[in-house]
Amino acid sequence: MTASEATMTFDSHDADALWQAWAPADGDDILARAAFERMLRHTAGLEDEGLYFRPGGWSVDLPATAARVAIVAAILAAGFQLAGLEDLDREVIIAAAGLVASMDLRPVRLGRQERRLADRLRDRGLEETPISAARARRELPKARRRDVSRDDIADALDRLVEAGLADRQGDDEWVLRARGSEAWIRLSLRVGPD
Amino acid sequence: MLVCMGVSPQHVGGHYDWFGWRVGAAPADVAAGRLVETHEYFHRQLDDTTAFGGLTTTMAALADAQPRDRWSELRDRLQAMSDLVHESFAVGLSLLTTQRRLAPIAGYPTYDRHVEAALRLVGRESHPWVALAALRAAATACMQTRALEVAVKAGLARFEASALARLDRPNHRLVALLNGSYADAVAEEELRARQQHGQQAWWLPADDVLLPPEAMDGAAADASGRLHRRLLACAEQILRAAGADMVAPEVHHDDLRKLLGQARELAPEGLVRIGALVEAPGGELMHGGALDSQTIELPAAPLRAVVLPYGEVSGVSGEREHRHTYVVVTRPQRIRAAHRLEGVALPDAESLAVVRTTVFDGERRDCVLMLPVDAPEQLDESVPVYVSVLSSAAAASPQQTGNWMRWADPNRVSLVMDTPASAALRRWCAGGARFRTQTRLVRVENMEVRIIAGRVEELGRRSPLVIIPSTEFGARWFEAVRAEDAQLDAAVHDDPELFERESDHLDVVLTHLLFEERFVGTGSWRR
Repeated sequence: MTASEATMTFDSHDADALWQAWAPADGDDILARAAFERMLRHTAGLEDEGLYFRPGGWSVDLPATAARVAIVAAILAAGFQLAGLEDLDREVIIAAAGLVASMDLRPVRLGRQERRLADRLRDRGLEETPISAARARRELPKARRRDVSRDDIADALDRLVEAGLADRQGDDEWVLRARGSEAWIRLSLRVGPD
Repeated sequence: MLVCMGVSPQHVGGHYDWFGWRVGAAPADVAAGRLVETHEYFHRQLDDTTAFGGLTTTMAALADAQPRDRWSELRDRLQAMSDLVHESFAVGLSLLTTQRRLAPIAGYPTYDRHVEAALRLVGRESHPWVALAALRAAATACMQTRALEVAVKAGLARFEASALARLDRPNHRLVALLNGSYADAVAEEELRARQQHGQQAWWLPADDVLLPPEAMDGAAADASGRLHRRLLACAEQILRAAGADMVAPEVHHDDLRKLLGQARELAPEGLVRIGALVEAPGGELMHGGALDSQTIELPAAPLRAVVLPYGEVSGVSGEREHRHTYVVVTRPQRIRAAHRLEGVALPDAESLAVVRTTVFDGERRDCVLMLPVDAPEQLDESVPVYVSVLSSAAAASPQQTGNWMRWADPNRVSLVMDTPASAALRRWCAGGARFRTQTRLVRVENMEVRIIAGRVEELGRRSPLVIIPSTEFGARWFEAVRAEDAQLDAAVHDDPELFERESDHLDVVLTHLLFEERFVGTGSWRR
């Protein structure tokens, strides 16, 4: 995606990359993908009525705000589809997207450390089990334990919460979600400067 | 601004809009052009032959008749409930029927996921003969939902798309088939078919032909029908296990007729399309569209058109011995849809006649000049006068167009079809008349169009020259329908000398048609 003044060029590769970043774990929910694509094309003004058989990918120049609304609306449409709310009015989703897009929004990206922590806890049968940072650290292999502090583990668990893979139960207690029940959309919102 | 990326000349596009489809007249690789139009044709076939398609196209007709009402939103909702089924069916069937493998299409990356859905349904190694029946059965099962019945019972005025249960929505049914054991059933049928037909000549690919015509002929066609029915029953079983009902093929016709009745009451001013079931009664629903709903976009005509009172400037076209006046009888909406108009206002009428020519600025076509004329008697006849009547104008205003046709020299009057042609041909020839015809490829500048031209003849009388602008796909389809429709085949006679015999006339009409119209074809009346 490239920005030029207040206009952004958004193309089909960006749409694919966006879907890959936000898609459910198995990535092959065709109804959610279709809802995402449909809403993206509609809000970006890509085509009018009917079904198109169009060669190549597509690319569209949009004002930055419109691009953000289109992206958020597409993600929300996919999320609502997954939640079984597929009859929501398109305009309601776009209005909600407009609100969300006025904030700074970015997907939570997990690093290798967090992914390895989640895998390790799962391997140890600690899904759906309240766990402290100290306990989580003890579950690491001895050789790795030396390199990370309890605070590092607490930070990593918080990142898993932001990514929808875990829930925070208290000051020093987290629960790792079972595979398949991860919160698919967990937005990390930062209100931008006025 | 939207641009398409990575498009090379052999990649062309199309657009289906529930009534018909639109393609460009730019010369394309025949195989690519055939793939695109076949794809659009299968969208229409699915809508023409299924319950959910009938519901959606009825909404589309209402949306067209009453654009400010809620119908367009309902239509879009219904399309969103069925677009995955539509696309996987259209992309799969168009690949299989144009001698291609069911695999991602180079140059059409946004279709990869629909190809993938088709592959998940029918398996990656299926023989095209099996894959064809399997895809058709799956799509039919997905589209034969109770949605039409729900709409009829609620009444169109009260129907809400949200009232449809999830499993009455085709896309959800597709997911049920993908997650069910449909692909396993197809694999079993593949084994069975290999045992039964593996030694037949039509089963084995030869050169570039993966599925020869014999695979859909005689005993092989009967076997394909039985395979389709078995797979449809299997799809129904999977859907029933998931909690869905399936309406048997064609059983929905009564409900569709009731729905169309309700639609007509809601739109007393008329519906532009009322579905193949009513438009071609007794006809084969699967054959609709090719000569009834094509719109071909022509790139040569100037967008700008200037309308001036007749007599203010000369409207004569051509030079020296080719000087002539060209009159077109058309509808004001058609002109407004095609051009950016300047000059005086167009008359407010059902149809109008204009003297038409192209104004050049050096070598460049600057604009189309139109000079409205009230009646033939107004015309200066110092040069030959050619008259073309658009068939949509003839339908809208039979008396005025009839006056022009009777007045014109029979050797210089043509009827240009911009409305469905196959039903018109059947009607004209019902009393024993013959349609003597020839089809030619016309390639000028950056355009490529097939012209089907002919005259209806009966007891020494002959019609104006009928001109049907079409494409390679349309011309081929015309031949195929003739072969399958005994009535049409008896009425249509090849006339291999027609273009030579009518060359003066055709030179004039086709030049004006291809360089002054922006949309032609049997679906272009809606433009």
